[in-house]
Amino acid sequence: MLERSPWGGVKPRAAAPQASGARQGLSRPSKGTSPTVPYDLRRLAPHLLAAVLAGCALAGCVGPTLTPDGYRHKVLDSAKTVAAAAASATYAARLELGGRLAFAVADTVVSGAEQDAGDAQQALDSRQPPDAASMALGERARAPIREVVDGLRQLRIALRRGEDAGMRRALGALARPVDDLQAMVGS
Amino acid sequence: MKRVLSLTLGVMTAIGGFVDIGNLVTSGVTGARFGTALTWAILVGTAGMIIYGEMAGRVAAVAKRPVFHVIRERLGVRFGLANLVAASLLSLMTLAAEIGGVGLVLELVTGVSYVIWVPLVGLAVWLTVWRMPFGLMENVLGMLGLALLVFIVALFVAPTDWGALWHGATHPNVPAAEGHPMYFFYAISLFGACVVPYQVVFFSSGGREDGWTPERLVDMRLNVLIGFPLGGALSIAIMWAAAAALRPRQIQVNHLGQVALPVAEALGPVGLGLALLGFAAAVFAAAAECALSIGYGVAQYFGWAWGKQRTPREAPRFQAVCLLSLIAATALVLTSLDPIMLTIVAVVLGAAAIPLTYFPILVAANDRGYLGDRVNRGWLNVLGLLFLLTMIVISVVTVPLLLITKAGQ
Repeated sequence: MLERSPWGGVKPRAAAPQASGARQGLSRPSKGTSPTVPYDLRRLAPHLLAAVLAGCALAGCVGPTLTPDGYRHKVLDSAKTVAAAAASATYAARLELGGRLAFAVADTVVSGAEQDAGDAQQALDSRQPPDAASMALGERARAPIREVVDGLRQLRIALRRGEDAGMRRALGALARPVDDLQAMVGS
Repeated sequence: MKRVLSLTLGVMTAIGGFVDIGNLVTSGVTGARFGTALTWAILVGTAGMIIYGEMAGRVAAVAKRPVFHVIRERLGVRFGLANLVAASLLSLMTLAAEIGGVGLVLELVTGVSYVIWVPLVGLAVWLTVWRMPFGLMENVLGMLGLALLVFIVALFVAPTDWGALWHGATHPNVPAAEGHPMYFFYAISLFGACVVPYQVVFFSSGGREDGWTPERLVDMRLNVLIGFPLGGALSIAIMWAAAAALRPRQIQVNHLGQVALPVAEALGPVGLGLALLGFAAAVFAAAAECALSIGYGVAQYFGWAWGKQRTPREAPRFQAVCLLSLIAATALVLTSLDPIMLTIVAVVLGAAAIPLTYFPILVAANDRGYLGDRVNRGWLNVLGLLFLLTMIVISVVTVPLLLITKAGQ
């Protein structure tokens, strides 16, 4: 006397109360002072848990959709972080070129800047723009951010190879996208 | 002459010992982000550390009782246990941050990732705690920590705009891009870096290790009244260097190496080397002090034999607690938690929990049963109460600020 539950499990048919005894209702008899637990909820618990876990997993892949204001804030925050990372790497690289910084320190600072900029880029990419204007703003920021991340990679490679000319080239390539980002942040 | 030398050594040790990873990180971050507008937070924090450090030192010297002994005796077993758990957990977080900090300095020197260094640092700290005599540990690491004075030198060598720095410090305002929650969050972080609970526990327990007596109160007061303010001055120098060199370039400090860049610009590789030496010594000393503080606290609360002067055989449970806390803190850093973020969270939560440690000290410092006629004077009680009220307000607002600002992000 069982019927298929809409959640995929089985439950006792309501028309056979005698056979199911205590299970005929929605709850089991309580033991001692423990609260009664709805029987179907117990059976639903694994499904609910799976749904929550799946939701969490999906939430981890894509950031929440923001309001236009929230998205704008996120874009500007990313632009500011990437510009600051480029400024830090530029400062360290210039000190290294001037012979005022140890290689390990310059390498650590430049690598850290590259990591920070890459993280900010990924964080921005994971956000869904809520409307067309937000999408345009995001696209406006993405190009210079990509250029900065690429420039920082070039700078780190040149630094590790000890190529002063390569470092100067990479520093030169960083200037324009950083200006674009700073202008965007300042606007 | 020997006494003068001893006093000088004590004061210099206090200067070097005041600064730890919390001061390095928070001073660098805030200098780059807010300029000198948060200098007042270091001044207030240092003043609090002086007031309560003197009280804890006086209780240790006159009543011959360290902090956790007092807490259990005066505030009862249950309150004491809650206090012990909170202080130990916070010290554990701080210890993890210090171990990670030494690893970060070694990464800056060698280029090898800090994670590789962390187990070795944990081992080195344990060996220091276990084997190195107390005086040697305090004096050698404290003196090496004085290399941080290079930040003050750098400010004078570089073309510093003193007027702008002074104006920023004396006319503090919230930068338009930051907002009040962020401003006060970082103010609390600076404050918390000056008054971390482990420091006062270490200071009073170290006083017992050093055998302070009422006759040596002058030594203790010189340490507090000269050493701590000069330690605070080092924190301010780090902030001002960051304000002068990093803020105009719009650099955000996310890594320890960035804090040393202004020194490299002003003084070149030699200055940079001294800065890194100062970082390593100050943070390593703080790690050892932090591990010892956890051992001191637990042993004093439970009435076990404690002290670095005793052999491990004489104080096995004290040594075991130090070792276990080092293992736990090392494991925490090895989870690849960002040591910089861990530091900021640890100092901010430490600021929130500080009344738990400081309130019993204020009570004990007014207890004639302990101190006879050396109890607090009226004006000291007024200052102590004002500071305690400030700390209670900070305790209330810290967690909301931590959540609102996403830990200063």
